[in-house]
Amino acid sequence: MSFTHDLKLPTYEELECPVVNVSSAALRAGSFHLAKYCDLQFKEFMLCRQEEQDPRKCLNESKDVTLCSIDFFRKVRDTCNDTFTTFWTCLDNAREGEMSFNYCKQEQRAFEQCAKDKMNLERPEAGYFSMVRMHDSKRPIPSDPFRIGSVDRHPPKLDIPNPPSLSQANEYPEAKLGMKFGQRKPWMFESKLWD
Amino acid sequence: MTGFSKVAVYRQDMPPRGGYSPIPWARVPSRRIPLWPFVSLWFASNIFGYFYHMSEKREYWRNEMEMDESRSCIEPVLLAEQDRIVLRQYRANRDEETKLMKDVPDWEVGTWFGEKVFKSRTYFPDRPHVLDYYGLARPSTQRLDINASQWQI
Repeated sequence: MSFTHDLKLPTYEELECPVVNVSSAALRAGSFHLAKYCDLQFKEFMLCRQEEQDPRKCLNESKDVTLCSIDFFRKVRDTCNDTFTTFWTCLDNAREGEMSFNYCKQEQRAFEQCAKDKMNLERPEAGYFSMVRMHDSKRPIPSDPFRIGSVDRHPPKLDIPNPPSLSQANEYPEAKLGMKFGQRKPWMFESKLWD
Repeated sequence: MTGFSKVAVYRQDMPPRGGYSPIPWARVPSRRIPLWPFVSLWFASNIFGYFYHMSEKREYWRNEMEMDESRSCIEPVLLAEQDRIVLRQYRANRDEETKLMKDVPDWEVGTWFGEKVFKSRTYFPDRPHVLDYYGLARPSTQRLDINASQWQI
């Protein structure tokens, strides 16, 4: 609604991409191994998104992400389908309805074992994905993602004038109280003692 | 004395032979149960319970972390798809707006009669705004995002 015709929006052909046709429980079930498998593409996409602050500029990276995740789920379907299916159906029918891993520890262990044996994918340790991870990409750093320009283009607006200096003491007699006590706030009766 | 020839026979209420039995006047303390088993049990349960509670807390937060981590692992997949859907919708909205406002004089697409929303030349929102996305939709579709703060239905 607020996009004029001078703004470049990508065409429908540029936005064509297959969809990760997988339900939310299956996504949660395979999340750790997916992030390990598609680590590079995920990091590239998130870095691009954060630096450019513009979804139009990260279309290729987003397509890489989607294609990699589709590839991962196809791989899982080919090798570890049974354990994966039991795991995500267990999550789907979990007791509290929150798809928590507490109630499906056995199935989780079975799936992890299968992933380790057949797909050669080891799930990283517990706190791995919460930590900050560095990524170096070949994409050039954008120069001005927030489109700020220089400070002169947007000068800061201050309605309050600068405070007077000591040499201007005679011109601002009302400021004499502050000068008498320095940086200290006057105590309750100190202001009344001054006339 | 005269007139006391006959003596009335009656029985006096005297104490029994050998006297009364002794009255127990000494203090009799009440039956008590000892306090030390209860205090020791409470103390022991405190100590063991502290360590058990600490380990349970650690386990609980480990599980919570696991859930949060799985969500952040999935985030790029969902964000990528959302970006494409949103861009498709923006394009459809712009085309629809050109069609609708073709006959209105002085109307430029994306502005309020020439007055732009974003004054600087190159701004593009990275997060979709509710009005940008649902602006030209029917009210039943608009009500899908009823929790958005900028909505006035």
